[in-house]
Amino acid sequence: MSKNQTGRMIDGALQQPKRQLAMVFDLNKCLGCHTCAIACKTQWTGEEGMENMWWTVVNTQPGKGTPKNWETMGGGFDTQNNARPSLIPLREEYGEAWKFNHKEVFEGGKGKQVHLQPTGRNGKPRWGTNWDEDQGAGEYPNSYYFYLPRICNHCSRPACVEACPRGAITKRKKDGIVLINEKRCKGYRFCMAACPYKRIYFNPLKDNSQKCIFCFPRVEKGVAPACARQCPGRMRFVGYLDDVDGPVHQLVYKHKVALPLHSEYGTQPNVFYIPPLSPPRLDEQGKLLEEEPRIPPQYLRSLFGEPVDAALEKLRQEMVKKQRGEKSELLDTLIVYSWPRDIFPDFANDPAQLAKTAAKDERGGQ
Amino acid sequence: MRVNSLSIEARELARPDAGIWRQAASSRIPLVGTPIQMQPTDFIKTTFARQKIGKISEIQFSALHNGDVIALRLEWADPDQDADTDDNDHFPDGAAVMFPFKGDAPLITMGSKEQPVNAWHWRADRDGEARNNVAAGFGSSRVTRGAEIVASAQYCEGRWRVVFLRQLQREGIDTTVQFGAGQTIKIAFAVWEGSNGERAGLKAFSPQWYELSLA
Ligand code: SF4
Ligand code: SF4
Repeated sequence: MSKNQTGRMIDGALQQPKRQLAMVFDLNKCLGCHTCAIACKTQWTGEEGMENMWWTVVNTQPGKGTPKNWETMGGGFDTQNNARPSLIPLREEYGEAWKFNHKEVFEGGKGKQVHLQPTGRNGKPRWGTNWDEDQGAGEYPNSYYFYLPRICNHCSRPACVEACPRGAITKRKKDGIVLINEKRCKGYRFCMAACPYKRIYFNPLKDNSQKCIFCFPRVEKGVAPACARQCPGRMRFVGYLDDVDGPVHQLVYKHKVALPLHSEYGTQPNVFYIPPLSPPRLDEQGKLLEEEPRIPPQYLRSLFGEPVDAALEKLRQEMVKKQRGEKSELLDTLIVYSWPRDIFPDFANDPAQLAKTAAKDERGGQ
Repeated sequence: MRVNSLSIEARELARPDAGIWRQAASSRIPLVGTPIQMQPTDFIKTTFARQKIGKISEIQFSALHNGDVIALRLEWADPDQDADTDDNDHFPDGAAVMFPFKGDAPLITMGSKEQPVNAWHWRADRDGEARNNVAAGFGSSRVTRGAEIVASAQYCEGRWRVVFLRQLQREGIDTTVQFGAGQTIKIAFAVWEGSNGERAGLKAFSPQWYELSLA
């Protein structure tokens, strides 16, 4: 398969969905508020057995991420398109759903001696989801960090699909959403190892692997995924990649400022990131070093590849244009003047309205 | 292998440590690991290329019936008892017996479209139950209801002892094999060693069918 082709080869034929849903995350707008993660948790992962699941997680970069050190775990494909071996991340690496000593503190009469604290599987927790939040890197005054929200990338060449011996994971023809069929899944967890982004969780009660479903029941009703609709930073664009007028297509293909994360993993992810700009570094005298951004370009290259330089340059140029009072189509797209129309034009329906109409229909039908 | 008929209560036959099993004839069944080339996905082939698959190399097998139920007992040495899925890399030990629905179904692929097989599957984290599976080739197995197979397992001094117990006849259930006195039926075996990451097609199995003759 040639490198710039998307999709995957099965029995000599290129498999591609009819359309592909995708997201663009504008990292310059992420507040690190985790509203996305909570929205998703509330919507999908509240059941027993799913306590430790965060189908969307917001990591601080540079950092170890979720699960811990996922970038060093392997999976995906090598440059020859062969499956790269990898391990299954452990529960502690993802971060456990901690239990707290509520009883002891509130009912045990020890409220004055003991303080409320989490207990992990092996006593005091040594790691958790977002354990290294806001730590980042660099020395004051040149310390830096940024937020990196991550979901399943609904890849065009999903390593999870190819690893499963039961064909339990499919990529939908109509929109490219990658779904685990829980009836076929037997909890073998090859997918968890194969996914290089480590975005699959194991549910021991159901004996199933589970992950982001791109909110397909919402999307089918023209409602944006929960993480995108609830995002106060309005940084999550949603749309079909082939919709040439949509913001997703424009940012990825026209302006070329939205880039896949770790494209070298070979799975052709469908979440794209607007890379973070940063203020200039300061020298020892406190003078601005205009040519040296606080976030080292080489670190950003390690995440988004060489094209990140051009993308950042383009963003800077367009900002200068806008500052001069000229029009910038790119910045206008990123600003999202009119929500939700400008951020997920095909998925602008209000779920509350839909719920009301549904309730009315039901009453009318009785 | 002969399956003697004794008038013993089902409850007794179901006990892996029942005295009756000490008198029953037992056969040594050698097992081999599934060949890596047979694994169905590239990911599994690359990841497990350098690992020995099929850690358990033999089991002891014996069987009895009482005219109403049949009991199949498997015993093997296993220094690591794995009976939970508490962490993502924990896989439970398991065992299965497999029967062709008819004729000579291909064993290594777990049957074929034309010749499906029936497998009874016990897992150390599921106490008391064995699941009835129908398979028609690699990765196609599905669990069905109504067979009502009881599995009783005991781990003691580094050995697993597992008894599968089922009524000889399951009337009206066509997703599980039927037994009758005087009949001969083919059987094959598989064991998964959890501590070795064995699950799915990563297992030890008997590369040939054996014959069970019911007295
Ligand atoms: S991110 Fe991982 S789980 Fe999601 S489609 Fe890609 S390989 Fe599969
Ligand atoms: S809700 Fe939006 S702004 Fe808040 S953390 Fe998630 S992506 Fe960032």
